[in-house]
Amino acid sequence: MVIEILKPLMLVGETLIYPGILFSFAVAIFTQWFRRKAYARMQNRMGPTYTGLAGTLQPFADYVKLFFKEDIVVIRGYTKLPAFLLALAIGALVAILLMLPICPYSVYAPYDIIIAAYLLIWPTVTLAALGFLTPSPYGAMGSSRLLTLTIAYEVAFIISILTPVVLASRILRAQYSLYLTSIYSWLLWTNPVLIPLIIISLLTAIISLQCKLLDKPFDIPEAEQEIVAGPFTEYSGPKLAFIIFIHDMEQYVNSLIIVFLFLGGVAPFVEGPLWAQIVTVIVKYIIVVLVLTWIKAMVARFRVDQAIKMLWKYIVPLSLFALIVSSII
Amino acid sequence: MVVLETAVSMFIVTLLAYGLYLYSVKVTKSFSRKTREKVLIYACGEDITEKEALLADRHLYITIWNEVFKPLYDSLRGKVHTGILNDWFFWMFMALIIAYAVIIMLGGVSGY
Repeated sequence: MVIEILKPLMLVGETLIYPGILFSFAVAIFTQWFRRKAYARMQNRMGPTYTGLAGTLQPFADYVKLFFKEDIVVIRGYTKLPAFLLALAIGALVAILLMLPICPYSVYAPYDIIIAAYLLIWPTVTLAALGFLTPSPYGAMGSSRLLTLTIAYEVAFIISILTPVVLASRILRAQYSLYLTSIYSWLLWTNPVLIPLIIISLLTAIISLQCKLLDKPFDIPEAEQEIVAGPFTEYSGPKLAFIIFIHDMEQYVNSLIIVFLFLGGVAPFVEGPLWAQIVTVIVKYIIVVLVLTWIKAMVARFRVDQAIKMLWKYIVPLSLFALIVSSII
Repeated sequence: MVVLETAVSMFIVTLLAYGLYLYSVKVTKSFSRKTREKVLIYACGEDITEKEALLADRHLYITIWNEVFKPLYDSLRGKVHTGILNDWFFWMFMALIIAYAVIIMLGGVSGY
């Protein structure tokens, strides 16, 4: 009875503090710092060094600086609608966090993967809409390119994350739930028949996530040598801070989804102490971020047609193959 | 229930983030100066009118059409649209088989 009364309060607490907005902000700062540092080291540079210990507070300083800068809106551009859309995208990303096992009282139900997939698409829709809310040729071009990529990488990413969900639901009764699949996913690695399917879908998920994050070789919508910053060209101040925050949040949330669905979450410490489980998730998360950064540092940018060809010719069919086989066996 | 809980969570964060944006605008209003140069459309130094910068809605999917569907259509037209009646029957027959396969995979049509 007491738990039932406290439930709404817990939901508010989870949304605002852990794993909600406050915790996400801290992780976003860490992730951005880590990626910048790792990316710089891979290019034989130093990366952030000035603010905080080894530059750890540089992303925080950047956020504060942008937040207290003037919000410039160009002629005939929308003022409040972009800010509202950006706020909605941040809300969608925080809502997904409540469906993962890092949340003390996770929100879950049978077939909730549909809601998760819906929420995962929200930030992309927002970022694509931004380019059309200001009269800018670069913005429109960037948004058009982003929408073109979306029809390939969103399909690939959703199909990729469906593979472990379908496997766990058919074999381990995870009920097509993101939370339950995250709990049972480590058991999929104990069956040698399923391992190739998990590996294939993990690879396709990582490549499509690279595209989702608009990192090289898929940074076509914001290719600065061609179209300045694409959909974000005319944004400054708090809106630009929100855009960067959404990028960091997407990195954080999607990497966590990969950790829990494909890399077994807290395994091999499923029955172990809490600190060991936390350390395991952090290590796996850093590995995923490092792999994404490594790909970014290693390759050059694709053209739109090359990216689309690669995604539709190899990534989507591979992920679809894994999904079909997992729904048959 | 899960829909309600995620919706509430999303709503709270949206309100908070939008409130923060409004706060930022309020704070920066005191020291910001609106100038004509600031609100001009950025075009890498070129002169561009508002009319040129605004694109029609139909251009939203133009890259998708040009980069994905047009090459696909061009290659399909060469291979499929041969002008021979038997080829047309063959493709219609294939479409029918695919439709039946999808219906059967989805559990079939329940009878009376």
